[in-house]
Amino acid sequence: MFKAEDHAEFLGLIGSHQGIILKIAHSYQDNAADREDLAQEILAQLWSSFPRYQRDRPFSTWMYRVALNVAISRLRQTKPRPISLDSALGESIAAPTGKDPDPRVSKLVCFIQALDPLNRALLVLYLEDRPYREIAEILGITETNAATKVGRLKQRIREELPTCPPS
Amino acid sequence: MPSILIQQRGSTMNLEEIKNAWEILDKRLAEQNRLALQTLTDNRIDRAKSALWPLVFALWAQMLFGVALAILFVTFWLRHLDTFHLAIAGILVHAYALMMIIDAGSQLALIRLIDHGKPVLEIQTTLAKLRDWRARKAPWLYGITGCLIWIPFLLVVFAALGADLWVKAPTVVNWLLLSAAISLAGFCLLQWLILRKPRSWLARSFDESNTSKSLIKAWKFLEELEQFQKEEETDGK
Repeated sequence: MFKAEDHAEFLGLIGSHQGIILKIAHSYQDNAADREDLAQEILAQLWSSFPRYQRDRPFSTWMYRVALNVAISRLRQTKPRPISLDSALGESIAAPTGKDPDPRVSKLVCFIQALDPLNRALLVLYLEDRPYREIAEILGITETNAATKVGRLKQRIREELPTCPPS
Repeated sequence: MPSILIQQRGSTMNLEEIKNAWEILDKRLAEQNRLALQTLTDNRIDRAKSALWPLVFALWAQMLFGVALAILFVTFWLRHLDTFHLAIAGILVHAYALMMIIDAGSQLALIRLIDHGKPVLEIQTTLAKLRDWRARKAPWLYGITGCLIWIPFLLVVFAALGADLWVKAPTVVNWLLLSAAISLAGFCLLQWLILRKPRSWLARSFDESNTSKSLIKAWKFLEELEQFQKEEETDGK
């Protein structure tokens, strides 16, 4: 059981970083129901892992680790399953769908979803403008390697993005 | 402005524009989605689906079953210390029950140690290794012991019902031993075929049938992780 002050602190932190959950859910699931389920699962895992969060470390780094670990694990599981869209996250998380009115967004989403889970994590962190040091800390690689991998990813973007259909 | 330009059906996208597209997506998600944080309660967390929940449930069931068997069989062999073959049969089945408990306990401990706040590669490797144990090594352990354990199990069950098969029906015991030897040979042959062609339909069916569904696809991911780490080593040189 959690103390009331932990609950309040958690809600405050999540409230100011909830975009991370939404974007990771969007990047790792193309089906609206699965996205909602993933966001719910990330939130639940964040809550249950919160007692182990070290307050002297940046919350966003810890949150990225948890969210990416949950998202990657879920992606490795069996085929997507239909779920009940119960209340907590609301209907709205189901939108937007994979087809975006903006062709740039649509192309980007297509490219993200074609990547393997680890490179997908790398791309999300790159797009989020996280410094190499933090990318390295989140993924568990060295800073130099994070920089090299991001460089390779940019090369892949150049080569593979044009092949993605815009919608 | 980054110099990389990307052709996109007549237009171009550079990395800055890709980031802009990400920001558009970010804003859209922020506008359209709200996490209902106030509904987050302990009760909700308890109900939340965990990826490993089916496995944890199965392991607890295995452990409880093992404990029940261990209690049952320890009382049996303690009461039959004066009859050598029954005592040995009881001890063997008791040992099998202990193996089930230790196996389930160690996996549960490993799952409990998984902290999702640790680096992604570390956690994903741990999960993949857990799956690897269940898919590749546990079948050997349970397969080989399973081919043999039912003989002492039957001896114990019949003895508990008042019939000592070893004394009263030695031909039945011999037949059981022969069957066990054939089962063991068949199992070893199957494993040999699987190891010889690990990507065959036989290997895949065996793998799927012996693996917890909650970790079913992790074995491919272990390869990806290894590849990612290999790249890291190469990059580091």
